[in-house]
Amino acid sequence: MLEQIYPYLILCGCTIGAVLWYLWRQALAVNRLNLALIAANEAAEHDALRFLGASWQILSQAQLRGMQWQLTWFGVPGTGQYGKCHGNYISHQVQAPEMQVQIQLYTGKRRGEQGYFVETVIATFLLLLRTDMLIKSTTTTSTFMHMAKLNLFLQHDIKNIAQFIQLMTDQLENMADNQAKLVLDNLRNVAPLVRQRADRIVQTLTVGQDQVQALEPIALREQAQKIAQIFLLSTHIIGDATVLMPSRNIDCALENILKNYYDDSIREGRSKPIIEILIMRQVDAVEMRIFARDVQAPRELQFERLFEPFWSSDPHGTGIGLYQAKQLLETCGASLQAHINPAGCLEFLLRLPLNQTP
Amino acid sequence: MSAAHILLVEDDLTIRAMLQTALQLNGYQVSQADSRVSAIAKLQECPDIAVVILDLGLPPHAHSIEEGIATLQAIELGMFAVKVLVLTGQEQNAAALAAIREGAFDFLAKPASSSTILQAIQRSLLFLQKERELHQDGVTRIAINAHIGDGLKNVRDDAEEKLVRQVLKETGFNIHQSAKRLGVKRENIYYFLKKFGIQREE
Repeated sequence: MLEQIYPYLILCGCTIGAVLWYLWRQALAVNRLNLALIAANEAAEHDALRFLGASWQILSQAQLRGMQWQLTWFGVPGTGQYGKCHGNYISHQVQAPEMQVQIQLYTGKRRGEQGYFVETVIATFLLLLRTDMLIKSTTTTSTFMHMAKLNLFLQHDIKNIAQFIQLMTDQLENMADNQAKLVLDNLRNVAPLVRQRADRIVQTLTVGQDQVQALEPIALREQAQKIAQIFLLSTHIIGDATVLMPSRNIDCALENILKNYYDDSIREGRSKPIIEILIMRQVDAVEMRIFARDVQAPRELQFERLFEPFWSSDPHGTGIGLYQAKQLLETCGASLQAHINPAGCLEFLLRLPLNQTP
Repeated sequence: MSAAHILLVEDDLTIRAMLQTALQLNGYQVSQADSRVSAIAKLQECPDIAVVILDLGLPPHAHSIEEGIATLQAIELGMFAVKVLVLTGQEQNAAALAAIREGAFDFLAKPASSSTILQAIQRSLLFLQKERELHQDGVTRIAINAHIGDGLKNVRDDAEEKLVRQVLKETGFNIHQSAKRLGVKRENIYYFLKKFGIQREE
């Protein structure tokens, strides 16, 4: 009896095996198409409209006969199509703020598992398209927001520089002979600070751009003291070293770090802290540790976001300062890190190379 | 008049230094403050300060007017006998409106020339001098922001509060003298203290 059904069992087993093999092959093909769509999206740099054009070649391999769309892109309407656009189709709408795409995908006749596999590819395509549109929308909004914030910051600094120039001009024009010493002594003290302010504006405007700067010997103790004075901060400095670096980079980095202590003390209504600076010369680099002994790192500090551009714990901050400081140091072979030291203070660690040659 | 004492409230060290020189060259005595707290401390320390030159963009909000306005409010609340000149780089219309509402005497947009600033100081000193003369005649000048739609009661309350605060400050919080000067009973002064939440520490 059993011998009589063997052939049927073998036939059933072979059929199941063949079906599984077929489905496995189909799944692999779909997987390849999905990966190809992701690669095409990356090649299009997540630009939704470029991706729309680049995706047809891949979609056509998923048994789609044609694709057409109608869109409204930041108020401008447009249409487009690929392949043969008649017969059965699936319609989808993808939208994000100020962007809307109505898309029809012509599938022809679909049977069972083929329909399922095609829908998987279409779902991937639509997901990528929607993600691209949301990326565009988010990027646009945040860029405008940061531009407005940056503009506000620059306006404040530029107006102060304009005020300085106005007062300087007035004083030089109107000073009597017996006033010359007072005016010139004051200018001698103040003008370098204004130069630093102007440098900071230039650095802010050129953040992220590579710039070739001349190397200069910088006495770190003196430089740190000078910058701390701008923010009316007292310092306790141990050690000293001279490094060969672009002075503007290190000035701007130190200024951005020390400014945080100044802003923080005023925001919290505290007296200005004494800044501890340890300068240690090592074999190939100078290590500079900066912290305020009396200021504990805030509990709510999001440590991992410390150097994230355009992120700030202060709602009025640009979030550029520490990112810029890190970038500037890295462009000249130095580095900037931060950690909570054993005393619970936020400590910045600058590592400045010694082996630079002019 | 030329020996008047001016307080510069400005977070930018360079502008403070330049303004200080400009004012000293014109014979003024100058003090400096870089924040609201230090400005109020300086006003308490030096009662002879006649004019405050105030930047509205003060830390920790150097790029908005809120800390400058809070400083103006603190000066008003402290009843300091000063005129406040706002010298700021903040957005002009909104800042000017807010500053004048909070009692600023004049508003100058950066960059302002030395002569403009000096003229504004002279105007302030002239007004202050005339107010002092009026005060000697028993007239106290108070400024109130009245919303017509709120009716007379609110206006009266605001005026009452300012007048009571002023007299209490002038008498060193002496209830008896204050009552006498205002021509009311001592009980009325206690009523006002409670009504307006006035405390001796102020």
